Amino acid sequence: MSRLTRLVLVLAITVLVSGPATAGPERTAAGGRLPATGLLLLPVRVDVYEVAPAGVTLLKAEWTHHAQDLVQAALDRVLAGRTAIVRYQPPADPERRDRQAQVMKVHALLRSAIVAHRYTDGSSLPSKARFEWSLGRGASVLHDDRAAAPYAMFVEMSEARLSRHFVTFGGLANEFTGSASIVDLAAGDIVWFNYERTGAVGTAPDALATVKRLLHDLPF
Amino acid sequence: MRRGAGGLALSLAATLVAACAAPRPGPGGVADLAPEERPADRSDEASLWLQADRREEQLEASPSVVRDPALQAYIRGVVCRIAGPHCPRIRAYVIRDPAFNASMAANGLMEIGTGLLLRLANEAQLAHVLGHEIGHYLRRHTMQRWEDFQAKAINLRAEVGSLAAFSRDQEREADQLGSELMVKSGYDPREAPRVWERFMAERGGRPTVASNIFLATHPPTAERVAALRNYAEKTVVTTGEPRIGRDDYVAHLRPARRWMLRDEVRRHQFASSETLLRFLIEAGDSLGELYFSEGELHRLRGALGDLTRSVAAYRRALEFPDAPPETQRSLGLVYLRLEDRAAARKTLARYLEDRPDAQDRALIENQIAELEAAR
Amino acid sequence: MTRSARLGALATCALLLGGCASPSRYRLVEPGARSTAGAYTVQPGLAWSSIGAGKVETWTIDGLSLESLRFFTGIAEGESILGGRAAEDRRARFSTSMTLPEVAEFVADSLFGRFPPRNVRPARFGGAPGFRFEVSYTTRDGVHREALVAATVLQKQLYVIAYTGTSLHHFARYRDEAEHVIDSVRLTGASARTQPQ
Repeated sequence: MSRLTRLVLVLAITVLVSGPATAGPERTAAGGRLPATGLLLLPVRVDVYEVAPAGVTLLKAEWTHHAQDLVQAALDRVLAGRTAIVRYQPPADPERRDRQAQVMKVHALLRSAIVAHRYTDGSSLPSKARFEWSLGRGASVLHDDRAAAPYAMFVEMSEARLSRHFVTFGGLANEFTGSASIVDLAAGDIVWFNYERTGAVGTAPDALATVKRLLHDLPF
Repeated sequence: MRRGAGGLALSLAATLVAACAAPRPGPGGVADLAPEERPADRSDEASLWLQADRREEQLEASPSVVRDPALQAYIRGVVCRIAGPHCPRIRAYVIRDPAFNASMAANGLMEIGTGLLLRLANEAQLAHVLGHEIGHYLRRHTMQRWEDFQAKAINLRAEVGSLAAFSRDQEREADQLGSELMVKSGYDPREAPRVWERFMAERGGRPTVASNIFLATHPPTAERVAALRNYAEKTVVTTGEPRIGRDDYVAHLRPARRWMLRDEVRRHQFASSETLLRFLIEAGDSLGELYFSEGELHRLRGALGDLTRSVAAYRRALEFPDAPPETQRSLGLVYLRLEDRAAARKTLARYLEDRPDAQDRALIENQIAELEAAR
Repeated sequence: MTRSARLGALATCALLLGGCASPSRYRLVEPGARSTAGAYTVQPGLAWSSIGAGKVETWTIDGLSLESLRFFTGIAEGESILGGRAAEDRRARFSTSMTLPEVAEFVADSLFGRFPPRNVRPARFGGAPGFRFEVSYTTRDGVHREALVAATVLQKQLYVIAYTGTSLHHFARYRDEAEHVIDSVRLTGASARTQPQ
């Protein structure tokens, strides 16, 4: 092996180890340390699919409902004692509910944009040097008037499990993605965000480990 | 990730399409759904329901859902009339889609396109279409289609790609059930074949557009029309005078007609829109709207002779009190294209008088000023 | 690509980008004079990221689904704005015989379907007579959005710039900048000679 080849290999390994784009949590300057004055926890969305032969996926009712319970329990455990948790309750007023739903929808777009531009190879935005995304001041409509939590957290997970019929094909594995974001409800800024491509939500220990990994290095 | 997303789209399509492409029950059969029945959580059927629930969540916020309470209540009434004890489970959404579309998901989520509503002549025809879709639900066609698809995929059978394929027998089963429900609720079954006859006339022998799920899986065929006609002839409605319900239907659809016709014109499918308009003009309701739409079709196509034909249609529209104020705008712009400047100036000015809040007022005023300057 | 070339590319990447395995598909648009989509020269005041070229070039700051500035160039007789597969494409097509209000109607219909344009008004575009309008619309997944559109017909071709963003935040956030970019438009090349239609 020539010296050049060795150098190239070492550099290549550096690339592979350091991974694509960002790995681990992103945060704004304000998102380094947050006051533990309350966190509004939006309904956790966990979807578990079965990848059937021929690549067709089926959102499995039993797995999804089970995983939703496990992840919720794991979240409660991981967040316990860090900050006061306020659970989201849809308001009775339909107009306010619509405005809140709109904030959640735009958050879903932001989430995809952040994953695409910070966590995916080849899609970074050259004009965006710093982690800086916002829902704007309209996000304050999520404020629960009674509890007035100043921050909100969105958690979303999706797991695709291969059908047992896939054994014959081999080489494929279950897929997982999970994201968590913390929004400053006054300015609407996303102050903390994490995205993970490894995890599992089939059992209580798996769900706990997955939630711990996703929420490591929380700002409170 | 990519595979997951593609698969999701495919499986969603399966949820929506399969109802219209289900196989016959195998030997031993599958029992029809009971009114309060819910599939067990661990079954694939529960999963198909969950997927449809997610679709319904999306619809809650979708701009495509028509949220006119009067129209919703009317459709709901017809659904309940034919679905009987299943009525609470059938959730009918009117979807703003000018194509000829309807679908039924495993969980009773029914979507009815406005293009379909625009093409039906009366309540009995609506009852036929709703009954057909309810038939797919009762027979659990989505579930059967899914199981069939799975079995083929596991055995690597060649038909695996035919998720959206259909069999005539399956459609015939839904047709049959739809007609039975229709008759049981007192509707005239002779209206059923007319839905498809009219539609075949509009298509004029052109092949079905592949992107239209409803038509890809419900191809109207002469054979189906004959079977429906045959059934209607053999059947005696015992509950008094069979109901057709033309006046009720037209009255409930009238408030939506203006925008439904705009959506139809916007499809840019000249030949089928023209056939549809001819049919509606013959039926004789909202003639000002209809002639205006005819003018718009010609103006937007703008082929040889279209402009003079659009002028004739707009002028005809203006003979009726329901001609929209935009008739003057369109007529004025066509005059402009035909270089009849005096008529253009007069007609556009009239439009601005009739529509003081016109959103393109500044641009039209500018146009008029240019015409004045050129005098 | 041979094995060593691949390794070389990886190594170069590692050196240049410090861990970023492949260069971005997006190009940086720095503030100042900048030509775009081969037909326009504009002067952005902020840095944007650009993707696409030819008939449509798109700029964004936060991400395409949040806000974007699209430059459509030189749509000729018989062409549609958004293109599309020919076989099933039944979209409206541009015609040079359209009056200016009809061109506005065509642009609004092509980009926003049934959502009606507001305040359609004459406005100069790159020195030529044109128009602007606004639209509020809702995407299929229920997100409310706003749009500002500017266009002109020059030498039998249609030029359109469309700025869109979420109503909640992103449209308003960069609206001034988008208007500044639109105001700064100069049509380049042979099309630069302006002429009234």
